[in-house]
Amino acid sequence: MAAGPDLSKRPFPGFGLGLRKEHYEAVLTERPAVDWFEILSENYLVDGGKPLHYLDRIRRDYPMAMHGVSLSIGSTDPLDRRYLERLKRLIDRLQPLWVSDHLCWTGAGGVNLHDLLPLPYTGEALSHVVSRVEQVQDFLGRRILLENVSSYMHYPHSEMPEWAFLAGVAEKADCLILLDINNIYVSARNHGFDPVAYLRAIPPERVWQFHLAGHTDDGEWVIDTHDHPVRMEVWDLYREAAGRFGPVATMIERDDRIPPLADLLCELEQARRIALPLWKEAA
Amino acid sequence: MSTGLATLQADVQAAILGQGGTALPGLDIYRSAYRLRLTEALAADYPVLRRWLGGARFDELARDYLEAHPSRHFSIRWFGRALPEYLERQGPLEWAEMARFEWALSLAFDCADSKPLAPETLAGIPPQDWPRLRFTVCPGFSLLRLRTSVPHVWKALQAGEDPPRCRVLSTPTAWMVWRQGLRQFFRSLSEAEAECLVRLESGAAFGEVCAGLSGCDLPTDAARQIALWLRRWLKDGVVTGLRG
Repeated sequence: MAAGPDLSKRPFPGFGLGLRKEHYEAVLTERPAVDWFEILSENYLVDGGKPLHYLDRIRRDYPMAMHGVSLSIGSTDPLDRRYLERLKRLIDRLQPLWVSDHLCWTGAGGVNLHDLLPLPYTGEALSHVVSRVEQVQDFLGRRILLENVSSYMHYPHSEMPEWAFLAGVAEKADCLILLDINNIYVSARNHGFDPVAYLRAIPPERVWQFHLAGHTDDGEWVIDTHDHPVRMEVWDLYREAAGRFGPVATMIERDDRIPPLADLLCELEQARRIALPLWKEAA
Repeated sequence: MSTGLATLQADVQAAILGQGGTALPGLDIYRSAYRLRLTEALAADYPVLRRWLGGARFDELARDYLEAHPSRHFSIRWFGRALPEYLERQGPLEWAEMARFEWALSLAFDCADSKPLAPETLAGIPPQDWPRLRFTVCPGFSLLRLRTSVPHVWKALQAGEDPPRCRVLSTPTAWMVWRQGLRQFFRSLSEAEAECLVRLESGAAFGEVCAGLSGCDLPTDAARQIALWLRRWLKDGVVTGLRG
């Protein structure tokens, strides 16, 4: 299947931020120097009111990517058709840069835990996910991006490392990858693997987006909280990834303790300072 | 279907829900994050109820509710939907009514947009056609009959003031909740006006609505009264159109 554009022509819209309601007014009045926004799709799967009012107005000024948390691509429950239909309607409305979700499952037996639970990295889980990604891509008529999640749980059942699983899904299902640099760092610390080995195993042409975010570190566990600025160790890993993958759309996620927009713009500037010289060199 | 994977997911989920299951290394983090996240979602739907009960009591309520009503919708936005009904069965009446009131506000928040019916549209309709007119009421419109004074408590808490004591009323009071533009509104209304709106919303013809009112034993002439209400419903964006 060849849904969507040619893999060799990866779009590079630049540096983006997650759109948060706290910043709606500031975005409209200040027109900040953000190249694009990523929205959390579920926040806009509603019938009207403020969410869609602001979304439509901001969309007039900025490209947008759609990022979901409800696909549950790894669940053994059937795919949720109601969800996919609503998602498709939002895609039609927004004409996004692309649509992403997570390589995870969120519940089973009809229950939604609203968490991004890691999968056991087995051959069985891999074929299960591949067949579902194909169904979703057929339904949406486009390739989707799947993001690596942060993980705390360890399955003794796993037969391969996470990076082999992610690369395998992307190649076999012909989908794209949203590489969350912070999640790689978080999981590497929690499970004791080498984050650079992770980067090396990922097929570069399939990586269309990077996520950056902050985490908390209590010494025992590193938790992906999205409530702090990006930490130094994650900037270092981003530098490594930027060098390896070339120009990839980069954005910063902040979901809690949301600071003024200006603070996030400063952080985004930091991403530009790290990546752009590397990409200029390569060009 | 992957049977091994399905069994494993059922097992992990049971452990997260605290219903047995295998304790895989690291699973505790998911178990506590689950409770925390769903409690926060409920608090976002019921911010004033939470302020009223206090954090500790609200968290306890959220834990019990979560056990009885785990989320079954793709969006966490609907997780709190069954709280009013849950409290009707479990909790004090005033908590249940506060939950009903806040849920009505949240339904109005992101319901479909609508525009008020333009008075000019009505001005052009000949008087003999009026009895057959059927109106549409705005999406997200709720009519509640409350047996306590929770809306007054809500108003005070929302404004950051000390709430008045919540009273139990001898007869229920009707309240309407709706959105106009981007703002939610609520107001109390007489039982006669409430009854008219219920009929109007259910698609009754204007003539039937008026006929219903005549039995209401109002001091003023029914038609004149309804005309006044209709003017207000139009101005407030409650009446949004004419049916086919």
